[in-house]
Amino acid sequence: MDSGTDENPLDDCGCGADERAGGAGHTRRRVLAGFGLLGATAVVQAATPRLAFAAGGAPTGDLVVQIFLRGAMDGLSAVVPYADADYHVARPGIRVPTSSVHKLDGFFGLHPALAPLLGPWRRRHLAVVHAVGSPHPTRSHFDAQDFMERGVPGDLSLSTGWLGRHLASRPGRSDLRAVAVGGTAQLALRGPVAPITLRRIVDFTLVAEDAERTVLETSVERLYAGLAHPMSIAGKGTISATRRLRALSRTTYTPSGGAKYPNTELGKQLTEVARLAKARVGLEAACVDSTGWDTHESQGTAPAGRLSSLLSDLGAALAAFYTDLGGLRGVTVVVMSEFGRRVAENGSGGTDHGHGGVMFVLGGGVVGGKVYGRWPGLAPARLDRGDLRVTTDYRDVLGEILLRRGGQTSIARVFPRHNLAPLGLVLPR
Amino acid sequence: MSGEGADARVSRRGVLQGVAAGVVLAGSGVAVAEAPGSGGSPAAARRVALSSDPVLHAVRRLSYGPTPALLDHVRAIGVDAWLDEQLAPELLADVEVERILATFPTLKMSNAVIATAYADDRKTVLRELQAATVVRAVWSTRQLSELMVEMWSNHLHIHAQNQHALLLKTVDDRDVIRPHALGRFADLLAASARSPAMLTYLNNWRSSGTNPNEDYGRELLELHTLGVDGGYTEADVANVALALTGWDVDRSTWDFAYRPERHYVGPLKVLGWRHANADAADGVSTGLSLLDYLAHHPSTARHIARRICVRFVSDSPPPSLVASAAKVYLAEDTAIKPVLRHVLGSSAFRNSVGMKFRRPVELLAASVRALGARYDVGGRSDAAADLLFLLQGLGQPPFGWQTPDGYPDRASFWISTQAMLQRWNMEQHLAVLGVRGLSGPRLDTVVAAPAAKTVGELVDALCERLAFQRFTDEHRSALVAATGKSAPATLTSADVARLAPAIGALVLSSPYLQLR
Repeated sequence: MDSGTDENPLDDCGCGADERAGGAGHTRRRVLAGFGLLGATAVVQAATPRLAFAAGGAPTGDLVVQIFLRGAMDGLSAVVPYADADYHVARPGIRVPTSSVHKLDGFFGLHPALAPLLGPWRRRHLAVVHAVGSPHPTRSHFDAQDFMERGVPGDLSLSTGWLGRHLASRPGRSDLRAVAVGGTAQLALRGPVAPITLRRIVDFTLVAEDAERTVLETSVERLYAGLAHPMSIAGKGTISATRRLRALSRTTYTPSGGAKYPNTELGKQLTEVARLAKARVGLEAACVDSTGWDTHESQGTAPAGRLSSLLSDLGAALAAFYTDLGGLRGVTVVVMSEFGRRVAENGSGGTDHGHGGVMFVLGGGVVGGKVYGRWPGLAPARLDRGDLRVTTDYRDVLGEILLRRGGQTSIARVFPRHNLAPLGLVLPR
Repeated sequence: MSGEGADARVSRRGVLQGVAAGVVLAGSGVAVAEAPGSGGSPAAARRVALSSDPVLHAVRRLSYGPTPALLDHVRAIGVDAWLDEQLAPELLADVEVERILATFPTLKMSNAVIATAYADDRKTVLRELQAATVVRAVWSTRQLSELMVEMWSNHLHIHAQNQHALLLKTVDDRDVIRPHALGRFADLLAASARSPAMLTYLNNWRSSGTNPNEDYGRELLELHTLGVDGGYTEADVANVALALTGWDVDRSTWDFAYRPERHYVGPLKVLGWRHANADAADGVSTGLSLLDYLAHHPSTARHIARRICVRFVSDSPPPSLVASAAKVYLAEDTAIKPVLRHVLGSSAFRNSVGMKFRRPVELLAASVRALGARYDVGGRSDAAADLLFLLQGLGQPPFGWQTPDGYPDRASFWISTQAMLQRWNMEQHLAVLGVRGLSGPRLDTVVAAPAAKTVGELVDALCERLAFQRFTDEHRSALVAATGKSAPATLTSADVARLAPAIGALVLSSPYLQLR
């Protein structure tokens, strides 16, 4: 797609922030209040409340967080093979100069915009997997994301997601085992354990006077109860979540350890996950998304440009999340994208769809400070139709995380017909 | 499902007779509404008791939602005659829409004028287009045409919050999508490929023979024509990109411009299409020949037929219906109306009551239409801002989807806890709190004749008025309970004035309104 979104002249509403904030007539004000722009009316400063959830005990596995970079991140710019001469030949206009990368080892260097990740890297809590991806050859965003999140490349027979199957195969009684941050649940979470989908905890409430809210909740609950339609389950989950989250939604949140989340969609989404993680609601899986990675044109050259700002957001948000959750004890984050991008740059200062890419794994149980994977090389003869070869199946990364950190005992339940070949990138829990 | 072939052969004029004949059953039918994915539901779960009245079914599907006047009209002339009317939108007066849209000047401007006059006020351009889209959905008499415009806008999607598309989408909507929405797909595709909004959005204007950019070429095959399983290869993607090099946008007029010096010259092959492509001067006709080939390809026929079936029948339409609709598409030289008539005349359509979940735009429009609200023009009122704000919260601002595949047309995407919460909150705004700039009959006066004297009568009247049917006993009891009184309890007019909006919002928030 044409980018332009870094210069986005609109706020994401399409109706103008000034329009919304200003001239708030009575009606407008009430319209806005329900949608959270004015904030909760009675905000109470308090310690993060521990919510009284249905007893289920603490989960026996890490909280697994999927961060999906939609649009295909250019892995060759994020983790630069600076010592591969063919990299510099293929990308005369947009290569990241060796002088500006943060060297991870004698071959790979981190894009300068990802500098906030150097802290976790040095503490060996960040691992990189390169030349990783799906065995399926598709270069379609939509198919590749679908295959990757369902965890069955090229297979249309299974409609559930990899995290959905993971949750379904484990006991758990909390009604907040999984959270999808955003307006719609990520495919990875699809399965019999319905995730709670939410944008912001503070806004997750029915618009009504306090005195009327209980009646409203009860009435809607009765209208949606027991119907043979997916909206019935979602409706029930909505009402129960508004009740469960009420205490949290009435407090302000101060991140721990001086963590500063970027004021971006990704930063806000991870803040919500951190709040829920700290509230001990029994959360086992969370999904957040970052968009805009389809850099067909004007990727820019480090440290400026469109890709740099995307990476900068990613680095800052991950680092804040890491700090806020005290070095991610009991949490494993996996950052993935549907595929990498073409090795050679195109005529628009960008890159077309490619194949092999990069994954990041961040957490207290990670054997980090290392770039995993087998480097296939970038010489034209070594490429897969012009693209970086995939030498590591992404399911090996996800599978190892579930097996060693997620409390999963049968990887066949999550990734059927896949022979797991762990890389050793996480410690047993 | 083998019957679909037979349906294809019956006279088109009469395809909806079966539906029209069912009018006598109005109110008696209770339909199954079981969406895909509900297979694992417990056996005890009850189906949504959506009325299967054929007129209601047709109006729910072929419009943005029933109104009392529209239902009266369709009942009077019959569903077939109404479909004929809707398929000739140019003959339908659209006074209310014209009255409102007169306040949005950019809708009639050229790209050049917009680029000059709105260089410093860019967001106004998109805002007016978004507002016009919502206004037309709610108030246009040309309802089926508007639904098709929305379908094609998603099929040939352009994310309009994009640097250039922001200014250019207005002309794409007016001169590309709307004129061809009920015409031939081949014409629509050829117009879209030359649309400056599309050329910039998918980067074809940056593509040249020496430095091709595959963005548009790939999405043209994957999304616009053949479909991802349409049988093309990566080499086909590369050759499509080469065939369309030189298709550019003039930087001063912002209209389509062909630049032969950027066109790739040399033989090209895409599936069964071959072209010598020997002369750069002929690059436009070369590209048009490819587009015409793609529009008539059997994979494209299946892809388009499926999209129409998904739009109007169900998320998983019968393969036999898709196949027969694809045949009609090819036999009719990619004309869209015959495909629509075929699909709407099928037994699969008749039997699909409640099998589509309303997307946010559809729910918002259906709610405003049911409430009978009027859009106030002039003064400081600006309902469009609030309506767009509600749609933003619901995740479906017009042209706001970020990737070129357009908003999904399947229930599973739109059902989540966040989505349900936003849906219910929207109804509170529309029915209880009010939206500035919308005026309309107050709910208590709407149901006042015949006067609702008891709680039960009030609840029934509101269900009939806003959902166009009675609710099940269980759902009726839930609404009665919300009043804190019993069904036979009598009401004063003050009670009615107080309770009607709250109960109305609950009716609009109910499962019945979520389906179309």
